[in-house]
Amino acid sequence: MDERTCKEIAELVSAYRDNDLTPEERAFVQAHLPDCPSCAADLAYYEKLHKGLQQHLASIPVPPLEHTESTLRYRKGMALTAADAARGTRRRISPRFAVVSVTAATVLTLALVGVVYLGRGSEEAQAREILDKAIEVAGNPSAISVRSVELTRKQWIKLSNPPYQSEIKGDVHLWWQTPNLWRIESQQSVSTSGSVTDYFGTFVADGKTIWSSTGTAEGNRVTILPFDSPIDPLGRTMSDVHWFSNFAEPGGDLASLFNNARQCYDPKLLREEKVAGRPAYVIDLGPNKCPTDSASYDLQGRRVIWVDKETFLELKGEQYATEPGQGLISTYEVTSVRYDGEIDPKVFTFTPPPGAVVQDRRPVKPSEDVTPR
Amino acid sequence: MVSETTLMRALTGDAEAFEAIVVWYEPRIYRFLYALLRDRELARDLTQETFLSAHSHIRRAGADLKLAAWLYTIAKNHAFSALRRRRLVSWLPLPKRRKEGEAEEELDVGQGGDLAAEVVEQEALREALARLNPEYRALLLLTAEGFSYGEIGRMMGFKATVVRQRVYRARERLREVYRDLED
Repeated sequence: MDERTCKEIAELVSAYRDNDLTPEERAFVQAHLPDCPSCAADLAYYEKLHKGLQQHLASIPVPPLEHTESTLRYRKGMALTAADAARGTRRRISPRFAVVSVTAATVLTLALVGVVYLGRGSEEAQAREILDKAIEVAGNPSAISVRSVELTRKQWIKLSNPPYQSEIKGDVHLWWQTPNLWRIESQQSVSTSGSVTDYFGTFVADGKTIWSSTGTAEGNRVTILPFDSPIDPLGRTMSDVHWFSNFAEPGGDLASLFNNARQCYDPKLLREEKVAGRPAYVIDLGPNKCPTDSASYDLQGRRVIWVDKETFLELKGEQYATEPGQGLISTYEVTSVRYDGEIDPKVFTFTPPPGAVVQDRRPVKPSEDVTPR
Repeated sequence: MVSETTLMRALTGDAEAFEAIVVWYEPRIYRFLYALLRDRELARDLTQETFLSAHSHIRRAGADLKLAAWLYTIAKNHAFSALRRRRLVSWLPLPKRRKEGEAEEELDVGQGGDLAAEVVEQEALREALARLNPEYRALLLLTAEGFSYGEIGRMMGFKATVVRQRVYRARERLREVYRDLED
């Protein structure tokens, strides 16, 4: 699509952000977005603006509201219960945002779905691959109160919905340093109808650029994007999506985590347990009450999370199928974690390996980053 | 949230139920009014006006009352009347830069670059927002509050299709203002 057509549908893209389209319009926008970088950029801007406005509203200090006698008519003789007062101060999250937070909640498990698209070769498959890969690492690490994290994680997922049936096992090594330095190396084996394929992925982001490299035995493919590119179908950027914690807030506590989780779950604290040597809360979220729209993966079932007692990082998770008795469909578990350790700056740099197929989607290509031939 | 039961009780004139509504919505309405008007005193007065109007009309409202939309409509109407009275309806002055020692209590810039950058962004957004006309400003704020186009249309007196078009225009206008501020 050319620039002009994109401009004409910008109004639809704006309404798409607000989820105020007919199913037909929505389908049109979804189909159009991958082919229209400027529309995707518009969507990212609308999303950013929307969030900025919400933050702006939330940041406005409310003075003690003095009431005249006439106002007090309806207050007379009424003592508020503590529960009422607490309700009054709770943050309102619109239903639409509840859905977004569910999407965030699915990130860890959805992360693996991306590799299924690998190797199909088409532009669309590649776009999906990049998005899903990016979602895997996208995050708002300010949700936890540390300055750096290095961790290793094991994950397993079973996809049952046709045509995606497969089983994926993977290991992930992740480095993150405030504010937005990332490196994620993953190795995943995908078993589909008897055959097993290994995939290797490296994802590096340094606040300016995102490098996403995926490879099989046949070769490597590298995509380079500006850091503020929309990286998922909702138009979110690296800084928009929660990754380390789906429910905790900066400087938060167990109560605020529960409050956030209640948007879509009925959380219950089961017990405390150690994961990778870290004391953790075990929280049974129960089934997901919010609708999700993943075609390939069942996200409605019960979910149990292990949350670091100090940092609120999710150390372990179990996702169960919607149908009771179908059992576990995915797990992940941090096997080692180090907070606030020194990380070599080289970790957050990336040079495409020789022979890799490189697609540079940055608007201007700085000469020093030109891919080696 | 205000429960269905609380709303039903408030509709029958139950003062305690109305109080629960005030406790929940008062800070939200104040913030909305302040973001719209950028005047603390006026926002405070109109918050009070909003709940007084709501209090005197709630018993006449039907059981199908959409409480949040209704309260925001009252607040918006009060704000627009006040703006008309002040002849500010088409343009608001730029927000004043904060003076020394007048830092707003929620901003703590002593914590490092991240927060400082965020504060700068918020400041730019506030400035840009203040340069929009009140209708665009209200549309963007109501969208940020999570209201649907249908609800916003009823609040503002437009069809939902018009809301879609104007929200889009408001966003684009804000983008232009942003760019102008950057230059």
